[in-house]
Parts: sequence; structure tokens; C-alpha cells
Amino acid sequence: MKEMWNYAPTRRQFLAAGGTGLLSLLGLGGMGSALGAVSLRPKSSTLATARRTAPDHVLVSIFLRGGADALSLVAPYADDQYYRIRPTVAIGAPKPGGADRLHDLNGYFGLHPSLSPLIDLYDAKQLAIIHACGSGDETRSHFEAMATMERGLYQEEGPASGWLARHLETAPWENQTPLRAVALGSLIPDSLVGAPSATAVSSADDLRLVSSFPGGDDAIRRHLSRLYGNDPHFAPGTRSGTGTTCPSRAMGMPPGKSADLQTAGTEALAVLQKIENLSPATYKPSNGAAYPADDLGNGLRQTAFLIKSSLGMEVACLDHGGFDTHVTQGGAKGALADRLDSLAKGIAAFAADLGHSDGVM
Amino acid sequence: MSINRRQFLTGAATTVAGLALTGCHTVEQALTHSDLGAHPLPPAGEHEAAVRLLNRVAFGPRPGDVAEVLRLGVPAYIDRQLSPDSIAEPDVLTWRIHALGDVLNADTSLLFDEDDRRLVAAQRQARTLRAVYSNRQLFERMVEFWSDHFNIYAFKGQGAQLTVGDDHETIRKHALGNFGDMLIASARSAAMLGYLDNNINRRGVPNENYAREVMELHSLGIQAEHQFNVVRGSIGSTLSTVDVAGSHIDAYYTQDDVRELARCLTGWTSEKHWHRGRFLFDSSAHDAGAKSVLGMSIPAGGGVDDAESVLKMLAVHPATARHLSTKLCHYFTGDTSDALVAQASKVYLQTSGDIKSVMRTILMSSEIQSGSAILKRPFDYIVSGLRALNADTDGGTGIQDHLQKMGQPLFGWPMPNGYPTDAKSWTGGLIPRWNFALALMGDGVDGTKVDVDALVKRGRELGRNAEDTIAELVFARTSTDPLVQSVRRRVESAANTREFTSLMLMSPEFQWR
Repeated sequence: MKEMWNYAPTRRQFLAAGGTGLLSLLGLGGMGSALGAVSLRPKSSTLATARRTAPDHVLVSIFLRGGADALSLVAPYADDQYYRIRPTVAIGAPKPGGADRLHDLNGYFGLHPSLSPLIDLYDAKQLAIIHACGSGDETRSHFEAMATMERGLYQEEGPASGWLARHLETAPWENQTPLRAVALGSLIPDSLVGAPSATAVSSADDLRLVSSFPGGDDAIRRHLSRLYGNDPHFAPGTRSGTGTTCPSRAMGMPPGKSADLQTAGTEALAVLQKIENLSPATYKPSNGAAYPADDLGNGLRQTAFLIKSSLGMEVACLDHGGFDTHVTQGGAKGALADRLDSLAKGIAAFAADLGHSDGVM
Repeated sequence: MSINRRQFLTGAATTVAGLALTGCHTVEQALTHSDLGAHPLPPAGEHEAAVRLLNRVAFGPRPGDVAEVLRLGVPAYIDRQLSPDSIAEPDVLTWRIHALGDVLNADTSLLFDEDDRRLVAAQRQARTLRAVYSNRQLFERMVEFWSDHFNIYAFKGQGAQLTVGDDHETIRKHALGNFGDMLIASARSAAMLGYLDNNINRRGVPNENYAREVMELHSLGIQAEHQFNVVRGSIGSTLSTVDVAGSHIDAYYTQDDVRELARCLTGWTSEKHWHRGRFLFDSSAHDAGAKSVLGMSIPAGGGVDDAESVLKMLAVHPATARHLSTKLCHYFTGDTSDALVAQASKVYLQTSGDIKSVMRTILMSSEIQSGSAILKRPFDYIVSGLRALNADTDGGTGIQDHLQKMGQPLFGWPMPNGYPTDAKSWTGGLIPRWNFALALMGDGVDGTKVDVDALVKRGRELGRNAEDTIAELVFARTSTDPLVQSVRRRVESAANTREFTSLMLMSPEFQWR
């Protein structure tokens, strides 16, 4: 039997790889699949509460909803069983110049033709594939499987929180920036359930104040910077000359705590200001990266924008739906191929955008 | 069927109609209580004390609440709040809860045809309506406290159905009752059995999840700095190492105790077919052998009594007294003063876990006034804002969507430790708070309205300008109060009264209670 893995990173290598460039991980399970891309944060956050000990990379997790068929994403073409068991949906073995065929990875597994935009990343050892890492749950319930993946635990017992929430909770660094964990979409995914700091945004454009008052959000931001600003009468823990306690003391605010809230307010305003200045609506990707004009492409574009904005984001979650393909799945063409086409083009654009030219990759 | 908005507001208008005009009271006091006109303004200290009390005991003052506390006096107000059944509920609350219908039926077996989301939505709505409108404010605060203490995630298993029953039978039934009763009710609750996996804890295939959490979170607690310094021995000798008045309490249990308690709990599950959601002791799954937990010997063949006797012992354990007293002091006073924790623990042990007695000790203490300010969690923030401005709310999805964005969807905390109570967990979430304030005052929250014009009109009758009125209502303090003045100095020329109101709600001062 041939060697199955060209590149099977140990945990240490994986972490080291995070320091050298963009590393994508394809985790391929039975019913749900997740894909994580770890990328360097281009510049360390300029915000005060992102402690220097916070990591300099961003974890981007893309969840393939509905049960991505791992044996079609990365097919074991060298195994005869594969063609025997899958007479209709199997994809042809790699052949030089052959269209609609698998791209060879290591002489045993091949990548789905729709994923070919990822080949360069794989060859540059910036994409790792962890195959057959599903839960072993044989009920074939898609919902169970997805819940298991996002919870990150197979057993029924144990914490009900998401694996990313626990990662943030137990991380040995502090990062209280408002955008530490972002879900690109309208809901917090299960993997982030239990992270009180997680923020759901449909687009970076949503990270603004929505004011219907005359003067709009500009006026509100000005008011807020005064409200949260450095007012001597609000200075925590000080007493005025007349001997009466200052207002923050009257409210019983402990000096440290009220200062923390003021700092948090100032930081939130800085985020809002930064996003306003950077203008996500007119964001231009770097290196000619062309994101597909679909939800995932758009989400990844927003993610790249947030990463480049250096707002202290550590985790971004995206959903890519439509993998519950059933009889329309097809092989080299079909419903699955269409979903993968969008996925691969999105990731390739994301990788290009984050950058060959600015020294990130 | 629900009371309509006009009926509700008409009722409120009748209450304020007989007011004498006076400059001596805040708008907040004058809005609902007509008998105050003749009295002089109370000393500033008393007023401040009443505001503070309402920020601790209640979800912040509603217009008229400060006046009520001043009229009754603090001890009588607390006594009244400690007997919630004696307090009449407003019609608007009764009707709106009624309108939610059968989805809140305590017999959970009838709920399994209902859509999960609809059930959770109804529970969230009821919880919000009660916090905003109930006159039994301390009771609703206790409900919030215990819902965190015995946290259940509504989106695990049949949580959506079963939490309905748990809310009735564990939380609300015992919120001011006996802790031991509540602990056993929780242990028998199908929602808890499912959430912490005891429903699959069977002889030979133990599941220790619940056994561990019931000791670590629900009763004894664990003090992190001592967790490797375990005191072992018989119950008697464990007791002797506990100095209730002192600060040195070690962890009380070991992994052996967890394992043994899990054995006691084998077979504790719930009905899966008829009477679904009802407690079931499955003797065929029970480990009938002898056990020993925390030095207490449990003879073989005890059946369902095995775990009950352990739970009863845990409920009156000095470590439990201290753990609960510490949490309650922190939740209600913002601090854990050694003296107050010791006093509350003592009362707890003397009364075998009578929650009402412990609460009386805490609420009558000077620490209620002197303790640190507490950062409002999102639910607090929303409810206190709605109360201060006499808002009309259905408590529905408009409000719940904002709670979700702020990170506190009700019944939505997956971990058994309940939503965090420390300020640090919440300071990162200011942007969604600000957007809530903007939406609320811009009429952008579905099902919730603030009638600013009516408030301003009432203020004018009392000789106040619009901004004085709003500031007085939001902070329940006079315009000359230093805190109110400090906030207002930092706000210059708001575009209109609604924007001004939203700024008051967005201010750092309003994030604290």
C-alpha cells in the first residue's frame, strides 16, 4: 500500500506553520465538514486591550453545512473499492490533460476537480488535509453530526459549548476587543456558543451605529466620545474639592471597573471609526483577488477586510450551505461540484487577497 | 387575547391624573404616586438609598417605585418583597402572560408537538414581561439568580419542552423557599437530567456529569485556590474543619465522591413515552450496592433514597451554605464581604437552607448600600431601561433579537455555570447596547414603544423641561444630583428629546446598577 500522506503535520508543525504563512486545513468528516484557515494578522492590533500576548494569527472557520461528502472532496482513487462501491458518483482517476478528473495529491488520494484552485496552496504546503476525522456516529443524522463537529466532542457528556468558544475561554491571553470573535452571518454558530464576546455581523458594513436621528451616526459617535471620554468629573475614584464624592463613586463604581468600561467604550468607538474610515463598502481586495459573487465569497471578502483592519479579531466563522446534496450530488459535475467550485474560488481569492505582495503569505 | 395599548396607557394616565404640581419631587416619583404632593422632598441620602435598593432588589426603578420605597420605609419594602404572593400583579402582565397560552403549560408531556423555537420564544417572552412589569421584583431577581445557578441550555436534547416544567417546578416554586427542596426538585427535573446526562447514568455504564456538577456548582462549590488541598474524612470531621466565619474552606470532595454519588444516582431518569418529562426512578438501572459519599455510608438496597439522602446532606453542608451565601452576596451587593458572607452562611445553617431568611439578612445589611456597583448584564440593561421609561413592551422577538446580539439570549447559555456575572465578560459588548438604545428611541424595536411625548408632557406639568424630565427618569434622581449633572455636562445639544434619551441610556453611568 502506498504512503497515504504527503504532509501530515504534527501539532507542533501545525503551530509552527502558523508563523510562516497561511495554512489551510481541510477537516473532512462523515456528515459535516469544517475547513479552517489560519492566517497571519498583517499588523498587530493597535487597540489597547489586545494584550501583546495575544496570538498574531486569525482562525477562520468555514463550516460546510449539510454533510459534505468527504470521499468526493478527497477521493481515494488508488483504491479499487472506491469505484466498485460508487459506480455513479465516483470521479475519474487523475490523467495528464484529462478534464473533469481528480487532481493527484500523493499517488493515492485525489482532489475533486472543482477544488483545483486549491492545488497551488497544497503544493506550497499551505493546505493540509485531515481525512476521515468524523465522529463515528452511525445514526447518520446530519444535525447530530453537525452539532458534534461544532461542539467538538463526540460523547454525550461534557460541555455543551462550542469548541471555538472553549478555545477563546481557555486561551492564556487576554483580548477584550469588541471583535475578538466574529460570525459572518445573522447568527452565532454553535461552535461559538458560550463565547459572550462573539459578534454576528452580516457584513462589516453592519459594524456601525444605526441612528435615525438628525446628524446620523456621526453625531452619535461624537456624543459617545464625550460620554466615554476623559471627563475629570467622571474620573474614577477621585473626590471633588468640596469633599462630596464624585458621581462615579456615588454610583458605587469601583475605580478600576469604571475605568475599564470607559476604555471599552473608547475602544468600541475606535473600531467604529476605523471601519467608517476604511469603508468596507468600497473595499478593494489586494493582488487582483477575485472573490466569487456568492455568500461565501462575500463573507470571505468581509473577513479579509476585518483582518487587514487590525481590529484584534482572533476568530471568524463562516457558513457554506447546500452540501446536503442527495441524488443531485453528481460526480465531476453536479450539485456538489457547484458548491465546491464556489468554496475553492472563495478560498483561493481569500489567500491571494491576504497576500503574496505584502509579505503575509 | 391581550390588553391593548390604549387600555394600558389609559390606566397609567388615571394614576397620574390627581397629582398636585410640585417642584419638590422628581418626575420619577410624581409619575404614578399622587399622595406625595404635600410632603417635603426626602433627604438626599434616603432617596439615594431607595434608588440603590431598587437597583439591587428590582430590575431598576419604575416611575413611582422610589416613592413607594420612601413611603413604606426600606424594612417594610423588603418584607413585602420577601412575601411575593401578597403583592398584586398589574393587569397588563397577567393578560400578556395569559396571551402566550398553552405553550407555558406546566405539564410538559403536552408540549412535545410544539415547535422548539416557539416554546423557547414563549419562555423568553414570559421571562422578559415579568422582569419588566411584575411588582414582585425581588422574586423575579431570584428567578434570574437561580436560573443561572441551575442553568439549563434549552437547545440541548428536549430542553425546549423540558425547561418549561423546570421553570415551574424547580425555579419558581422554590425561588424563595428551602434550598434543599429546590436541589431535589432540580435533581428530579427531566430538563436537568437530560442536560447533565444523568438520564443515561446506568448501573455498569456510569455517567458522572451531573454528580460532579451538583457538588461543584449546585451545592458545595469549589474554591479554586484550594482545589488540590482536599479535606477528607467523616461528615463530622469535615464539619470540624469548617470555620464558617473564617475564610479557609477547602474543597470537600474527591473524584471518589463524584464516582460514588454517580452510583447513587444510577437509574434517575425521566419518562420517555406517556407522561414524558416526568421523573422516573428506573430500579433496573440502579446500582444497588453499598456506597460512601463524603464519609456518609449508604447501605445496600436503598434505591431512590440513596441519592436523596446525599442531596439532603449536601443541602445543609457548611460548604454549601458558604458557596450560596457568597454567590448571593455577590449578585445582590456586588461584593463578597467576609462579614456578610459569614452572617448569611450562619443564617443558612440555622434555618436549614431557608432562602428567605438568608435574603433578609443580605437585603437588610449595610452592604446593600456600600457594595460596589455591578455592571448590568444585557438583560438587566434592557429591562432597567424599559422600566425607567415606562415603556410598553410585548417582550417578544424585537427585544430578544437585541438580547441575542448583546450576547445574552435567555435559556441560551450552554455551560452549566450560568451566564457570567463579572464585568469583564460584558464590557466588550457596548456596540450592540448602543444600537439597542438607538433603536428603542428611534421606534425600531418591534413590539416595544416609549411614549416620550407623554413623559415630557407630564414633566412640563411639574415644571421640568424635556431633558430634565428624561434624565430624572433614567437615573431616578433629581436634576441637581451630581451624577445626573455629570452625565448631562458631557452631552451638548442633542438633536431632539428622543436622541437625548438614547444618549442617557448609552452613557457609562447607565451601564451600572
